Amino acid sequence: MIDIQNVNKIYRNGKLELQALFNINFKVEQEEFVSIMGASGSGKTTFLHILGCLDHATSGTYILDGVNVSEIKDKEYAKIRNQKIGFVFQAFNLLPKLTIVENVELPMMYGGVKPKERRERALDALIRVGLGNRIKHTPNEISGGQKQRVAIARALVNNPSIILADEPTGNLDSKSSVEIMNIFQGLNNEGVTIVMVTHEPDIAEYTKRKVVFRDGIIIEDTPIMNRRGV
Amino acid sequence: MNLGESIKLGFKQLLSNKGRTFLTMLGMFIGVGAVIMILSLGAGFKEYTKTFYSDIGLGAFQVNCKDQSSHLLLTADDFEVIKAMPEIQTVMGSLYEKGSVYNKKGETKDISLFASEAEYFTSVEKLELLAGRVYTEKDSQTAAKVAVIPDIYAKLILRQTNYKSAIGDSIEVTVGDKTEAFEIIGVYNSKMPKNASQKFLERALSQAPLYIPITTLDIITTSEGKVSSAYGGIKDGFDPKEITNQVRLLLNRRHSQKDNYNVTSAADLIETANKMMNMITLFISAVAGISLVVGGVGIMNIMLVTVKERTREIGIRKALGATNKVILRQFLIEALILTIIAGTIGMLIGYIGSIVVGGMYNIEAKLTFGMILFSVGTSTAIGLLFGVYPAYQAARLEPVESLRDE
Repeated sequence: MIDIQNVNKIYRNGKLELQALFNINFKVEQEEFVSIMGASGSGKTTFLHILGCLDHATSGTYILDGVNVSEIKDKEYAKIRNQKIGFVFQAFNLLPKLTIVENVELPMMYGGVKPKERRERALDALIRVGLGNRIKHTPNEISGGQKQRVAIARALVNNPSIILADEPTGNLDSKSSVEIMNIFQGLNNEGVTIVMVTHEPDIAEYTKRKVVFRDGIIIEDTPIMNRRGV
Repeated sequence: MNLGESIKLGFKQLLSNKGRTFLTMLGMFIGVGAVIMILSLGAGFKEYTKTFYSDIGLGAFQVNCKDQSSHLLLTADDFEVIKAMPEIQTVMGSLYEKGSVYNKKGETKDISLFASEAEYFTSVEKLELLAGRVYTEKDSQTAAKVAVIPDIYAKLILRQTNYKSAIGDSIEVTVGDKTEAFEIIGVYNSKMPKNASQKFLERALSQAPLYIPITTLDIITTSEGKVSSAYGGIKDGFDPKEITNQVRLLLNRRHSQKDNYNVTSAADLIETANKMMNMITLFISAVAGISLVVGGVGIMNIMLVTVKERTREIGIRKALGATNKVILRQFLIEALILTIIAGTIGMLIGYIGSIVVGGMYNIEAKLTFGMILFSVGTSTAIGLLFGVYPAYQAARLEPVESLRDE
């Protein structure tokens, strides 16, 4: 489903050049649950941004669902982000002025879904993450774990091909972290493909496959043997 | 996200920071308000001058002596010569006098007297009579002591609002050291504003004259038939400017003066008044234009701050699938809502202002379709002009960069 070939990423700032990724080759199949690990500056977040069509690779090809997205323009990029990708961020990134259900409706708003259907699908998604009752609250009125669940509901709501999570437990206590990982495992069992960046080894153990970045290259790509939470 | 949702979101966004929204709009209020106020007053003023002179006709003219020494005043001979000109319909002397009367409490009130021929009412000024009649040729010949009073005189001095019962009353008028009794034969409409204050009317009382036959005035003054001003009419088809100039030259020559006699036609007066009004309109519009530009820059400034503040939100929206176009439209709509509402409120403020100011000077403020179009058009243009740059800045933000924004 994801096929990355020879991807390089070079940041240019005036005369300064910084290569963040070197010739990355990477594949993700349907229903996989991948954790990407690495120290800060290893290129893992850059890689996730390219996977999420938030950023372009400097060279190489990226095929998502059979479409070569590395040749696609910005406007189409927005559409791909909207239809094929669901994001979950470390800082939740909910809009504070909108209610929880309105936050979940946002991707459908940009996807042109009719208001009535939007509300129904948003409620379904919130129920899937166990938050069917607090929909009229604003993000400031709920806990961090609940915020991240809202963010997951928002990521799910357009039925994307893949969910990309960037340190989803980074701002959470251990109890909430476990809850979030349980939700991810549940979704993965239902057939949702997930790629997650984390720097916590025990969190990575909830996934099925571990990919480790160092200095812009993949140094390890192994299945998880003793999965947690299963 | 369709247009309706963008507009809804725009309103929500602007309402979430009411104080800032209001302050941003201030410049537009002042700019649009000032322009509408002056345009509205100007239109009313033009209408006013037009109706004011429509009773008289554009060919009417007025003669005034600058130096009012006895030997320079206009005489019966002067009138004979002017009347002999083929272009002249008529000419008649008139005299303006200050006088006073007592009101019911015994207080002295200043008034003015306007003495004229009976013909004045048919060929120069048509009074709108509320009761009674104007004086006739016969009254003039017999020097009858009759007066046509303004309605405010009846109200303020006689304490009488039923004008009919004022007819036949006798009033005592003092001019200099002489006091004479006059019989009221008519009451005319002095066209005061409907909502004019008592103070305004008191002041107006000394301006709205009591009309009396010119022959009667001779009894109480020492004018000896000489007058300081005259009214006349030019026959249709002649150029008022040219004829009034001829009359002026004639009078100055007859009295061996260089420039002691002003001859002004109604056409001249309207032209001068309109010229002045256009100048004022142009000047205030220029000032208001500057204010609009300053207001527009203020809006741009605030929109740029808003984009900066909402960088993270823009990043989130883009990550969730908002295209650059949708983001651009969102910020442009916010700028437009801001300016169009400000323009509309400014227009209303300007119109209300012109009603208040116009009321003080008896000018009816006018709000034309063109002015509404101007307000909405200008504010839309300013919204687009000064909104497009901040909106473009918002649209071109890189999602990755903006998500990093704290």
